[in-house]
Amino acid sequence: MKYFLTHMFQRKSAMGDRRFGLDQGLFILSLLILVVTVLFPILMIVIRTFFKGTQLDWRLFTQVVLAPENLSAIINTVRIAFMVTVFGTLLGLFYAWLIGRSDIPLKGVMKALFTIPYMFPPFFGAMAWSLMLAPRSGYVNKLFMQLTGGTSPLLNINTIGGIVFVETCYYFPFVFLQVVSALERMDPTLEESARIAGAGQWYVIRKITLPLVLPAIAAGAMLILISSLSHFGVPAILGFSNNIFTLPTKIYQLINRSAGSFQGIREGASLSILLVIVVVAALYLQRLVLKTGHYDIIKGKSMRPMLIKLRGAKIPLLSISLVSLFVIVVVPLFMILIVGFLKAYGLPLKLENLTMRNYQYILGQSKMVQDSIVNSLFLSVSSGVITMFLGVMIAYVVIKVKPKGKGFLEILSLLPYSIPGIVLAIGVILVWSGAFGVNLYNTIWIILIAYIARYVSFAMKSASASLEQVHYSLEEAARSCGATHLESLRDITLPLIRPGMVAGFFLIFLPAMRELTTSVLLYGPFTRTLGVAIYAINSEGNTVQASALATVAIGIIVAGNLALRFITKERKGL
Amino acid sequence: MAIVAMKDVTVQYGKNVVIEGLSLEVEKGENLAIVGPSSCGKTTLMRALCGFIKISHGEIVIKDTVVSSPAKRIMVAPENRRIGVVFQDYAVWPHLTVIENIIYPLKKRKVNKLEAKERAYAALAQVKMSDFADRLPSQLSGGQQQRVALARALVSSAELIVLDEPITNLDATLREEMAYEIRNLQKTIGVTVIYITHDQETAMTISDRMVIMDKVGKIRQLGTPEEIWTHPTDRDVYTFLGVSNFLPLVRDREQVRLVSRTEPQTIGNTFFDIPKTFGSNLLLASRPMDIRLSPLSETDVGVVRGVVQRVTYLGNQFDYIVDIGGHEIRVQEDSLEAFRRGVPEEGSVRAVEFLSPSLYEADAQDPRFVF
Amino acid sequence: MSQITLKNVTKEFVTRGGHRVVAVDNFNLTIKEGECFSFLGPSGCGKTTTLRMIAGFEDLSEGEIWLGDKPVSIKSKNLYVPPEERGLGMVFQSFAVWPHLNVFENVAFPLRVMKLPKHEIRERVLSALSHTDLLSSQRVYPSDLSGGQQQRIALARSIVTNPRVMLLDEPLSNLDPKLRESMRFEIKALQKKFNFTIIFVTHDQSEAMALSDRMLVMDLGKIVQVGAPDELYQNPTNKFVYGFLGLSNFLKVEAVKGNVFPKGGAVMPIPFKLPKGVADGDGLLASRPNEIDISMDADGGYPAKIEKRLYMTFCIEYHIRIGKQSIRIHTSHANVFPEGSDCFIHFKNPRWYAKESQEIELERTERQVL
Repeated sequence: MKYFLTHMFQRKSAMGDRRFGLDQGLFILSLLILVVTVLFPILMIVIRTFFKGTQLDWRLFTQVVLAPENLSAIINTVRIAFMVTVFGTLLGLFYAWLIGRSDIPLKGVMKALFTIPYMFPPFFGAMAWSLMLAPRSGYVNKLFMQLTGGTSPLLNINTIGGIVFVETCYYFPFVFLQVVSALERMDPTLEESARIAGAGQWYVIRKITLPLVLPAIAAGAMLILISSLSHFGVPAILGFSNNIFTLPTKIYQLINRSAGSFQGIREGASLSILLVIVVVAALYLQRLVLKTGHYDIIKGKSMRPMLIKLRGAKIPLLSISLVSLFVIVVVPLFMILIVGFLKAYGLPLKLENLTMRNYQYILGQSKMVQDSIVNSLFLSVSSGVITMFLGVMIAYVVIKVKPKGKGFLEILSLLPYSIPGIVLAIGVILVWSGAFGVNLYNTIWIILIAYIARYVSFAMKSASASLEQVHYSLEEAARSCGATHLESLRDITLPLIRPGMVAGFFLIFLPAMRELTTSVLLYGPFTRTLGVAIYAINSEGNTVQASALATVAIGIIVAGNLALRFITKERKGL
Repeated sequence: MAIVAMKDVTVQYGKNVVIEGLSLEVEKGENLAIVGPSSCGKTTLMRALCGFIKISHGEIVIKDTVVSSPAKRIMVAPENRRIGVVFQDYAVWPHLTVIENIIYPLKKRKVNKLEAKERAYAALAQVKMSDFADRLPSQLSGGQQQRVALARALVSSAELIVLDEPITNLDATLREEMAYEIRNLQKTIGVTVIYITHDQETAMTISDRMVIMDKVGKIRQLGTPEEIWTHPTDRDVYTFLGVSNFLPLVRDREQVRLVSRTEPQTIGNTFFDIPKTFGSNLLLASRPMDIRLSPLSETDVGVVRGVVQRVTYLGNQFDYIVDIGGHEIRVQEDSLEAFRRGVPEEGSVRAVEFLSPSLYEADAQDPRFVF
Repeated sequence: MSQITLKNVTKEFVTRGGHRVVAVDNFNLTIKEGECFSFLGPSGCGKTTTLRMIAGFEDLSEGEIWLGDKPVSIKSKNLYVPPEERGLGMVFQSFAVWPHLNVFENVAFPLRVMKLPKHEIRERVLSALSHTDLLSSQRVYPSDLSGGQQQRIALARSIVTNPRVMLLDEPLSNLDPKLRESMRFEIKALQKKFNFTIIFVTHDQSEAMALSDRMLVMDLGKIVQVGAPDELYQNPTNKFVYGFLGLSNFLKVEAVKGNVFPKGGAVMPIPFKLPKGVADGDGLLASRPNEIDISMDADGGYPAKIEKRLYMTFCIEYHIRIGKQSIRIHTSHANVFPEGSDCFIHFKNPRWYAKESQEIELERTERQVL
């Protein structure tokens, strides 16, 4: 290690001798923080699973993996993820083509609608759909039974099919956004030259367009697959009541049931390893797929692609997409909003049944809810600020300083991307509940540490993007104008990445505000977060209050998004 | 007096030697162009001079002060070298207005505010950008940004400016305009300019002296544009400077014979002063515009004959491909001149006359000598 | 029949700012069979838009386009033949070769669309590849090839169907200067071999002159002049064409009683006969740097002063001061005169042009940004 550190800076530095002190410090600090927050938890999971004391011990792992109930959870997880990926990809692809290449009207409106599922956590959707399609109590099912006079519901959302449906609604934008951006960046002459060569529109789509956007499709599909594999909220809300478990919900159940006992956590850790293996396998698959095609399809001249005239199909296609978007996006939100004002769940949706009581209760009387809002605000703001600065520091070291260990640093900071939140939570518990003399269990700090570990990849990516815009020569120009290294950072680099930093903050603040997966394992009696509170109230059956609180969360998230949009728009001036 | 002296400078990254043992002196007040193919190490040289990279061996002296010397453990920081730099990508700070960009170096040198403002506006006027003082760089074109960078370099140092020309600057007229401007500034202010470019045409128009570097970071030739153009030291420099024709010749006692694939052609050696050291295989080098084609008369003996393969009209000039004994050469003729003398037809045979050709020794394995 | 006829072709755009721009203004043009015809003009002059209307990628706002005796676009009858049915060959500036297909498959694509038998496809692809010097890289993917080779793939792909008309949209501008020159002649050789009509769009005047039988200079969406390259170079109708076709000096002059004086208080008239029908007043005396002689003896020359001498690769450039104005002169390397000395100049082939209004220049720069 000593050799490593002293030789790391043998590279011919771009800035002369004096810089070494500052840069070396930043590198070591970044490395330390990442090792402690990211590497330790992961290592602890491995150690606790495979070691008993200091002895290697496979038995626990094989025991856990081979337990029939866990096996069925594995099968469910993979099945759900597979179906969500297939349906999500098809849906995303359809809309992407419609918006990117056809002459369908109202593109702006549709694009705006597509960003909405991005903003909200899927478990809100699960709540909303269960309000409508829970087998006995759902409003739509009740209406259906009234109309038919029967006792069988129209649809049961508490099934694997229901879980797949809700996750698909929230994850298809991954493919949509990837493919739309690929279509927009694609050189239109690639398609035009095929037309000139005699190929009709559909032939061109099949033989030219689709193969060229395949990498984008694969990337989006993999994002869906990995997100669905490690997803907790939807199967938790829709599956528990029907005994449908996935790996993340099973892990949660194990830990929850054991009430923090060491054995329970060890079992959870073993299952986590299994989940990580599945995710890593998916990532490996992505590598294989992406390797086959990495094309440069960026356009040269700025030209508008030829749009395909839908002619007679225009109106039907427009109606289908508007209606489906309405159902996917607007209806669930509306449902949550309405139910939040209901006197009691199950009452008909009529004006006289509406009330403000739920809001008065959750905002005025429930200490737990008030705590959770304060906690979430504190956690999102502080993790946002800390992680964003951490991301800037790591990105600076990786991009500008380029020490010998930069690859390692980069891998560490991007690792949390592929680690499911629930796994990270277990690792954090293992490290911070006394194993190293520090016990933060049941405090808010343990959640903060988990958030930092979870969002550091976001921060690092967003900071890298803005730092890469700051070319070397901008700093060097300042040096040759008489500024010291520190002055050039202060006068040039920092002001230039400031807008990027603010945007980066919101990119952490927003998901942290609605976070459920990690906090649900880490919260203590006084450290519930907003997500946990909604989830808990909902599980207790207080549906109307849960909906009211979810509406409050939606309000906060929308405000945050508007702020983000405002800031990123300003940034274009630079 | 030399304002910059580089002595035996070597720059290497690991085992990769970018510049080896380079020595160069820049005279005060001159405009020195450093020109060479891309990635020949000319930008590295500039970065070493400015203090952005360390040199591995040798010494750099600016105005009698040693600024880089690994042997003496000296490495003066860039901010203390007092060189005005215009970067390839201009490096105009996008968050500051034009005038703020230019005031910045004065602020760092602790010039009082009033004077700083005055000097900045003066510099802005020098580069004809006074109307744009309060704009942001994003509201300027590439050429205008380059002017701002130049003004900033001028206030940063009135003695020595290093200018790295953008590679991607495709607009030839813009490049030319900038070249004239820099030359004017240099003459009026007397600042020393080191101009780094990949374009030999710009280098020739702009510089008092030019340095030709080769791919491995060595200086091939140093001299005024005229010296270099008229007496390129070797074939590589000759080729680098522009379109060049090489014809194989064989010295056969007192005769010089063109190596022909079709018919034997003799060139009288009266206009050649062939160095004694040269072997028997020689290359005659000539530029397209230094070759004259004329109608062949019956009485001509001992002239070189060529078949006109292709005639292309380019407006201001005609461009010909001429086959001489199986070797194709390019010939260019001013179009007014061509109309006066008669434009040769494709397929016709012409007498070919070489005005001021150069002579080089051929490599042993030169394919032009192989049949 | 592969002649191309444009009748009253007009194209209007509405920009994002709601500004209406006439990109192509009432074009009437016939391109003859087997001809190499160039559209030349600065960026934003509408040349690419015209080509794309011929290809069928852009709709017309007004007018008709005929390929031979077959109409392909007639706005008034709402007739529009899609690009795939026009039977044209086309090569784009960005090469537009398909990165997911290898060289052979790229070239075979048009034949596969036609559903030709396998052996015929193979035969025709190999023949096209041999004409473009690509036989050895059949199985290679385009990303492993240089820009020049990629453009050859595009050429091979467009000749494989043996089209009667070839549209070339700045096919050489993405290549380096040396390659650009040699590719010109490759295109010309292919035309000789396959006998197609070429429409060539470019902003490079030397390219247009080297390649075309006839060319058209466009400015601000309008046809300014049509003719053979030497006709245009020797007889430009206005200042724009003169300036666009080569290096030029525009000396501001004033005609007084048939004598032409440089502006800025000169006493001596320039020896130049004002063309018939030109009244006294301000104008421009256009000259090319290589069409002016310098000498040290008077000999009927106009007195001037050598301001600067620049040694360049293809010539020596002199900056010559005439009153308060400065012009450039290019001479061969043999003529070396000292800077600062008085001299006499001879305009060998000067032309008189009216001044261009500032609005026109402004509009031109604005169009380039659009």
